[in-house]
Amino acid sequence: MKTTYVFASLLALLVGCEPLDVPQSPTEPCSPVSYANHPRHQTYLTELQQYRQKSNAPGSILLIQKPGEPRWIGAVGKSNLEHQTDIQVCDQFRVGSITKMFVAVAALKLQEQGKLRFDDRLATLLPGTADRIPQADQITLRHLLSHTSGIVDPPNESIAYQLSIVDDYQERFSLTTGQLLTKYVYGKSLHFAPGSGWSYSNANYWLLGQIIEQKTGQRLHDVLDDWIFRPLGMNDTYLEVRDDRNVVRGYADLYGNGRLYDVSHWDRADSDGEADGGIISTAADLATFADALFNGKLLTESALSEMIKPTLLPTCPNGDCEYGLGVEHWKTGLGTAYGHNGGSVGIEANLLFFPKNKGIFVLYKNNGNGSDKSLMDRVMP
Amino acid sequence: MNIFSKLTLVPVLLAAQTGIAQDRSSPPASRPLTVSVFSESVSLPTFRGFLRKPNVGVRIGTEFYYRNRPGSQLIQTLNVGFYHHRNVHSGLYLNTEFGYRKFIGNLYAEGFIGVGGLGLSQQLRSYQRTETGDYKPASRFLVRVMPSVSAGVGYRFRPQSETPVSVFARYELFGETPFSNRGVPVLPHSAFHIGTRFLVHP
Repeated sequence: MKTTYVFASLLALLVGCEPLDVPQSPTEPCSPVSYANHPRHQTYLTELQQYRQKSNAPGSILLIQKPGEPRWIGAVGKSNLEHQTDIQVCDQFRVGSITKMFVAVAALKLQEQGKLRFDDRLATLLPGTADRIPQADQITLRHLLSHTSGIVDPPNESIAYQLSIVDDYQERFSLTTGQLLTKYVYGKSLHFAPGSGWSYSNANYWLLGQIIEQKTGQRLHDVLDDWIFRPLGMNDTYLEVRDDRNVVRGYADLYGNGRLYDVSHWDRADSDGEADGGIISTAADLATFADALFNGKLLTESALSEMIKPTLLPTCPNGDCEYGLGVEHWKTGLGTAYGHNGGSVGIEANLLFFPKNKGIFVLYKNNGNGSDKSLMDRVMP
Repeated sequence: MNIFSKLTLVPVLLAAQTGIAQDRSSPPASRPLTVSVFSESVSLPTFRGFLRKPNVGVRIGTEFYYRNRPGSQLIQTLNVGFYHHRNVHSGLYLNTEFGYRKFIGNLYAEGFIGVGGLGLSQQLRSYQRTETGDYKPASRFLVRVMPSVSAGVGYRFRPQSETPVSVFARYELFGETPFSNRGVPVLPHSAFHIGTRFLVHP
């Protein structure tokens, strides 16, 4: 009997059949909103299908909103390959660094309320950083919002950080923001003197999340819920950690051999609940947010102007860092667009607003590789 | 001839050399057998976490000597090993290492570089695109190249007897390649071995 158990155990180890995640139930069907009667339905759908095919993504969602035509949302492919679940236009997905736009709005609202100023110093806002982050007394709120602080970026720069998620995603999932800062940011040299260069860093937004929580006395997800999600009716959007079984799963070609691996648990461990990339939302909710933000319904005119004002530094190419305060500037065929890209190991999301025609573009796919997004130049004008 | 072809030939040549040496000495040669258990993790070089949440492995191997002097040895090893990483995969490997061992009394220090083949049974669910553009489940098995470097210290008991025994601790860094996420070509693993070496008499 014992021998049988030993062989059975060895066999189980050899085939490595231990399931990683609770099996996903199929997503709930979306409300029956049909876009098939849209005048450009076939054109947009063909573009989306080609995008998904070229980018080797199991599934993709595209939202196009332009004056003069009704909003169109399309979804092609699968949200969950294990269950072969068709992706739906109203499926929730991880938005990655698009989260930074929401966190920046919260910080700007505190600035409007007089509780924060752009030249407030990090060492004053978070005294615990004073002797742990070099020149914390020189780093300002504006530096954090615009990625000009010089603070290191563990998710993109630290192989140790990335491998820690592969090795033990549960441990990474359990780390608080404070523990992340202690482990990967405190004591590390700055890339440059604060304000003298531009270097994207998720740690800037970890710190901003802490500042917002300290100033409001609330958890960041409650702040975003009270100030943005609920007032705008974004009922399918949240930041807090929840059971995510109906969120679109993420995939990555880890070995460069065409096989896609389900890495949803890595993405979840890396970002859920975090100020740098933890929001889960839908294409329609993201469009609602962009519509409200860039049409002046969330911030005052002066605050919005500060948010989208480009960061200009001699150290950036042509002097333009193409970033405002939590907002990327994209040079497109339709002029400069404002928004953000979000990416992690298993997903890529994009949200853009085109001032020229007030158009809104949301593009999502559940493969974390980069992609050619030139379709926006064909569908947005 | 590339480096991999050369390394593949080394054990064959050594086996031939050993065979000749055995023919010259009348008593049949004994064979060193190395057995170790190890804790593995996916990481850059580190000692953290090896005992907290160990991913356990075992390795069995033997050694051939290019040079076998009282104070030092020039060594080629041939090993088979298995480990189970609870979050990533189980691995079964066959590798060979070239190394140097320096004795100071009964104490010794050693270092190795090696290469091998690593068969993986992966925990992550994987999918392959079909000709129709759909995705179907892919095999969980994968074979990768396994480069390695290691260093260790040990102690030998009864070195002059017919039944010498050594105990050792060794830190090993090995990779699985090709790997291609975020521009990283090798997925690094660390392993901390505790083991013993003894002679097996035919």
